[in-house]
Amino acid sequence: MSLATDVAALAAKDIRIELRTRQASGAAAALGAIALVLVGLAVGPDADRLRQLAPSVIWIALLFATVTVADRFERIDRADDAFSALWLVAADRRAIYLAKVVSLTLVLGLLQLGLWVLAVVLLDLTLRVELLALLPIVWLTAWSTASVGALALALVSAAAHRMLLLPVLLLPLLVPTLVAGVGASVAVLDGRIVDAGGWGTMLSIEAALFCGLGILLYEAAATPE
Amino acid sequence: MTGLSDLARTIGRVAASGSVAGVALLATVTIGLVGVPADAAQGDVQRIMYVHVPSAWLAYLAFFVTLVGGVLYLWRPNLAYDRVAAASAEIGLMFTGLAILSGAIWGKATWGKWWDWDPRLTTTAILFLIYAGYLLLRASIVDRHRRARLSAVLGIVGFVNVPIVHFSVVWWRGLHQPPTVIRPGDPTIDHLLLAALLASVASFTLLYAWLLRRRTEIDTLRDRADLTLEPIP
Repeated sequence: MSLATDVAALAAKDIRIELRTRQASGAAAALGAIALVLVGLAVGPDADRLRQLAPSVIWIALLFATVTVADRFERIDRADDAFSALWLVAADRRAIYLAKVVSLTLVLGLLQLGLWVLAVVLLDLTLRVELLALLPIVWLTAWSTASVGALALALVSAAAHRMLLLPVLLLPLLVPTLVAGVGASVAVLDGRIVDAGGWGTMLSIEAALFCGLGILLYEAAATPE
Repeated sequence: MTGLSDLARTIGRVAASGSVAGVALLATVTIGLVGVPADAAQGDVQRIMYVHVPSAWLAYLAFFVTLVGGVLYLWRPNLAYDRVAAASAEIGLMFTGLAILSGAIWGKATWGKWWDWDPRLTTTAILFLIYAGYLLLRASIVDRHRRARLSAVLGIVGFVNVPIVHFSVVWWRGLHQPPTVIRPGDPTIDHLLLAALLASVASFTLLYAWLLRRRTEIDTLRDRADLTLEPIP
């Protein structure tokens, strides 16, 4: 089997499990919705301020949702020592990493889209054709986040208190993605599409860099004892 | 060749000795406090630069050594590389903390506040958190080789933030001044102050070399002791 076939098969396995259980996406979507509602309550009925805060709130909610989704994916893999079997079966271990990146990207991208739809309703964002420029930003951010997330999961899998350690390692590493994601979203909401393109380029570089590092380092990070 | 390597080793040992670092630091303190004039605009508070800048430089250097130690460990799994990487991360974290603290004191005197959400300050704080996470990860794994392998990976990925910290003042506008020494063109600092700054950077680097050597020796002894200890029944 080629690397692409392995990646497709493993990612389909993750997505199939998620479609059947909806545990990770359900919990993460609820977390994101709660964050949006709580910010609305905390800030009060100041529509302009809420619109200004929308990108930051969405990205912060996304970061915490990433922890939830990633942890759930990892739990499934580690249950009944399934990961060791997967490790032995995979001809190319990069496929395990890339599959995790693909499935996490898909879930996190859809989650972000859901959060933006909710933000349009709750935070009274004006619907304009320019908002379509958010689509590539959403998927680039999801890719970058998933690339770091899959590697961080491998790092904490052997650690004691791994659920505490995961956000401690993951969230600071995601700051460059957060900065570029917020910058791009603010630019899109303000109608500055050229600026958004600049941030999008930065996001692409970050995502490619993190994914490249992940491909190189995953085997070292994930080898079971 | 043996003579040359012996000479290099002897120079290394002398450079990383506590007495050399101590004398160099004493000289730096004297130069920084009384040897050079105060800055025309900021007055005496500018002298904190002789602690702040070397601390920031050592944070970069220490995390670079952690990166190199990690790469070497993954290439040839020898725990000696891991010990150097871990010791350097610990010292780098200390100097990052010192850079943040001295920057806060300097900021209070010049900007009127201890902290600002300036890109340089914020990215430095993130750098501190990443390497705090590195030490936490190490503390949570018992097996030596597994700990070395996982922390090598994190040391490599974490280093991505170092160039972001350095170039943050170029990429984003903030209160922190742009680079004055490591920049294209001539440094934008008075030559006398620059000489004193370079002297303090050199003496702090000697301090780093000594701390790194001592910390690595302690870890080596600890590992040896762990290996010789019989498990208690």
